[in-house]
Amino acid sequence: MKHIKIKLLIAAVFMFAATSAFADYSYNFSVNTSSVAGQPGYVDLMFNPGDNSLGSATATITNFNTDAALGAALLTGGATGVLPSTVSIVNNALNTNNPYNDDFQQVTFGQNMNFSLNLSGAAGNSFMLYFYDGTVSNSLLTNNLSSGIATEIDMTKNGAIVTNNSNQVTVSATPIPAAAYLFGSGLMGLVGIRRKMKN
Amino acid sequence: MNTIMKKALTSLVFVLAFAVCSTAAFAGILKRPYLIYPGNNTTMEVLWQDTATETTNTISWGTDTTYSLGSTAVSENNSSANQHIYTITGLTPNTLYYYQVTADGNPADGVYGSGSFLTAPAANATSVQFIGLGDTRTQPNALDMVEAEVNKVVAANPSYQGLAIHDGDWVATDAETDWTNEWFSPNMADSIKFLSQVPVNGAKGNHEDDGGYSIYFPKYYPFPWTQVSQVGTKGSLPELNNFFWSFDYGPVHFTIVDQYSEQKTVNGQSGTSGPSVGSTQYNWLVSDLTAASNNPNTPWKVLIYHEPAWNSGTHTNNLYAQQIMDPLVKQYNVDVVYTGHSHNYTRCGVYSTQTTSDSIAPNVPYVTEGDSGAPNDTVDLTNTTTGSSQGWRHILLADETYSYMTFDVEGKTMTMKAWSVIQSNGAPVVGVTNTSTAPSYTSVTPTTSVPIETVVLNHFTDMTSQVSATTTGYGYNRVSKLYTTNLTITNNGPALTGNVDVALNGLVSGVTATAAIAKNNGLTPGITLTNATGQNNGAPMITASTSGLASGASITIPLTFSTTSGAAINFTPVILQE
Repeated sequence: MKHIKIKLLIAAVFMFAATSAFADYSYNFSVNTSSVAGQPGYVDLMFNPGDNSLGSATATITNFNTDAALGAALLTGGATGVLPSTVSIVNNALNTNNPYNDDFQQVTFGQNMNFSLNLSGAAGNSFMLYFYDGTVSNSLLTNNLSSGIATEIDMTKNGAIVTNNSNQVTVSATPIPAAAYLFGSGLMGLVGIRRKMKN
Repeated sequence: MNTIMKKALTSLVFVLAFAVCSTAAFAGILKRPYLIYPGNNTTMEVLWQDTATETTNTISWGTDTTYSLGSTAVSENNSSANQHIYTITGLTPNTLYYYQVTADGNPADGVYGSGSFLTAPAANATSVQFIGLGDTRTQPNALDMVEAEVNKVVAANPSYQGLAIHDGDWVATDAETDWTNEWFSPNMADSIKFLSQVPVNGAKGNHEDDGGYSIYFPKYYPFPWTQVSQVGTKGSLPELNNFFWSFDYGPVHFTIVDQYSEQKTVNGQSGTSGPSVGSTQYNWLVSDLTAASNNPNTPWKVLIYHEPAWNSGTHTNNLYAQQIMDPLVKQYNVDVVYTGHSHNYTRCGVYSTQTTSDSIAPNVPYVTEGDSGAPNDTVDLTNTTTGSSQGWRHILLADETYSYMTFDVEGKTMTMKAWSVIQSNGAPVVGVTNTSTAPSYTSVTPTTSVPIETVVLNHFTDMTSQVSATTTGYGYNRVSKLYTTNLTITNNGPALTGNVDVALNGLVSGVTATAAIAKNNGLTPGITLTNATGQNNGAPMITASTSGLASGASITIPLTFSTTSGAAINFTPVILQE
């Protein structure tokens, strides 16, 4: 009986980790900005909840490097940090005083832009990457002029969904952290069971 | 001048004198011809009133102005002095007829009025249009202005000619003079034209009430009541009550309640009246709504009474209507509650996705059309007190300009439009004084109608229980200044066919309520779904699929929103199958 319970617990832990509403995803972004090189504009890193957000989540942008000239940043809502340093965006609830959470940063585009993105926390939140021209009259580097979004990553209960609307953006998942999370959470579960059995 | 010439002139003078005398022998018209739709699509009731007793008045009718289909003399109605009533029968449904009333059948002796009417559509019709009026009392010049606008609607689309509904307070008091000088004012040409071409069916208001009964309301509008009772006489006229009745007009069933047939006090609210549970009228009401619910030809049910359960002031919410009528509205799936009393246009309601502790029926628009001529009442958008008859807490939209409504039923969809009558230059109508001698609003003409709001009701099937819905995080496009999200719906039940729509309850198109009202209602004002394809009871709606949704399948659609309030976008998706 005890063994069956343990197996069930282990299975539950793994299932929780695998399909959890709380997960961790990492991606590498590579953006070819040569078509707009030399132009003034903006890069907009946004992370917002949807109606079905299941809790807190954070988007962290690291390893940002570019040959572009970066300018002033306008941080709104849950955004902290300024590129090229680490930018962290918490999924604060949207309201009149907090219409969105983003780092809206001035840039004179170069040939490329690269960064790493980590999304951690609850499902029901989305990261969005936008590019604008210098007067914020036109969206750049996107095929979806309606939304203006170049690349979007949605955190769902069934995993992350990447929607790339840009021919200039290459986004690739870096699965190791997720696997590590899975392994780690499973390991933590086993340790917990072990302790319970000892007691 | 020779003798022959003199004789000829003398004869001519005699002939002229006779002609003048014979014309003068006729009494003349006091209330020009007007119409009642008696609830039968092959009949129409025409009424008029002379200034003195006449027995030779003649009505002629036809499908053109030769009036060649029929002609008959109409003697006075026995119980009503100088009043004539004639029901034309044998008509064809959904057909335009013309009629003329003359003193004696010879137009040369005096035409008392002429007009036209549209017979009701076939019983199995699925499409119908009609007009909505209410609280027309006291300012006949303002009423004339509103009816001038209705006449324009009828001229542009004659299908609206078939019927107007009225929610009571036709005149200031149930007195002969008020009926003569207000509703039937001989000085108001647009009112006369309106009455000559649009039958008006409706309810009794408190201003037609005289201690629970009426004398002149039933005299001038003798509707085919279900169980009218005589409680006495006043002069030669009967005192009547129990003016409850119902009728079908194409696919719509109208149930009309008399709130004054029994005087009741509910929860100590002074002046609250109406039939109690178990009374004759209540039992009829249950029976009528049951029959209408079982009639496949009348999928739409409109309940008409005067004093609203829910409104925006200045009158209190009627507790009798809340306690007695609201449960019936829920039980029998009444589509629209149509009331007046407060002199403004108001739509109250809650959605099934909201929680409320009071009696209001979810997903049902409670319409107050009380501003078709009576002095405007200021709306109160701030008093959200609960548990009080003065807590006007379920307002979705309110407007205090002169107004009327149009209704358009097309199969499973009913479109209700409320229209404000304003000056053509966009300014509100002001300076309408209380007069029955001249249409003083002419000082602000030309007038025009502008929409207050459009509300679309759908008889679609709610499939929310078997379809889950999720949205992605909201994006904000700084160029378009629109918010975007992707809505994914997943069918967890049997396959859906045809159009599958998503209504975004909580976002209410055109909400003008203050933040307090919106918050109390759990609604988000000032946010528009810019890619909406339709509307469901005021909430924006988008078609997710035109080819159904297989069992287990999902579909994702983009949603885009504009916001003027800056408020967070917050809605509850309701999945509808057409």
